[in-house]
Amino acid sequence: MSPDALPSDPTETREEDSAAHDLALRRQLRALPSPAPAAELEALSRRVLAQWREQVAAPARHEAGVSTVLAAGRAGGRWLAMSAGLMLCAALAIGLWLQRGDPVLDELARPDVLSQMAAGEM
Amino acid sequence: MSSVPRLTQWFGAALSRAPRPRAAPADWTLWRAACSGDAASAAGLVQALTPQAYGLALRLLGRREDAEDAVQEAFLRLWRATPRDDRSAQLSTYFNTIVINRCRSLLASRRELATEAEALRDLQDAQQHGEAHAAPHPTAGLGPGGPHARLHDGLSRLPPRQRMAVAMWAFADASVPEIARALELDPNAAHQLLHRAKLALRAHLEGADS
Repeated sequence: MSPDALPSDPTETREEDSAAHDLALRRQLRALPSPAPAAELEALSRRVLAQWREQVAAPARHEAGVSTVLAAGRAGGRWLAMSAGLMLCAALAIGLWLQRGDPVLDELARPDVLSQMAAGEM
Repeated sequence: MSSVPRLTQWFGAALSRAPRPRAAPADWTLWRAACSGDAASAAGLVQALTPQAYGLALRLLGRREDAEDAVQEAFLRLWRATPRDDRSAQLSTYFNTIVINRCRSLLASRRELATEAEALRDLQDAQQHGEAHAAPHPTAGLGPGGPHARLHDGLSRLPPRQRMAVAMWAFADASVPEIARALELDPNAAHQLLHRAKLALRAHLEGADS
């Protein structure tokens, strides 16, 4: 008689049976339909979704709004910095242009060589 | 070529060779979308999870208001959850675990899971006089005499602790040590409790069949 033909260990068979029974029972339990009427389930689902809107969707929207404003602020800030830089450059250029020397005044401010010679200074 | 770009290139190549993380199951993807404010995902998730969770809570608690509270609180916990370690589990199993925990807390506050001799005696008396479940377990939609109704009936006849143990085992994939921890029992006692619950359910099903 080959070992294969030997009857299997009864303890093992019992364990296999028990595992199979367990699996079947678990499946049956999981497949149990809800004992509540459909209308009750629907009402509960509506309440849960209302709660979700209040607890999750609204804060998520608020968060999204804040980040949009911040992003817009960051983009706006870049433009503001660029405009400020340009205005500063323009002010500097105007200031320099205003401070340029006047040739007539320069001429007048130059010492009169002839009168200085006459006065004996040269 | 300087060493920094070379290092960056090597690091990038190493990253692309590294095994990518396993894709999350679809229900977890739905959960993530719902948590970031996607209405369709939230509706889909609520529709998928509510019937089983409500049925489970109703069978464990016996009162509609309590069962509704348990499911609503469980959803609140689900939206705020950070279940990084549980991604391998199905979302429904994870959610059932939250529901069962809520039910366990409610039952504990109702002293239906008590182990003290006095509390157990009181509960036993109440059950014997048919007062423990004043509100009958609803059976709408199960079909009279069908296998679902028989199993439902068998569950409702189990003592609260056995019902809790079998619910944890069947709906939350809890092991005997986990059941023992949750019900504050030693593992042998939890094993016996679960075994008795399964036997009672099978006997009820077979008795109803014969």
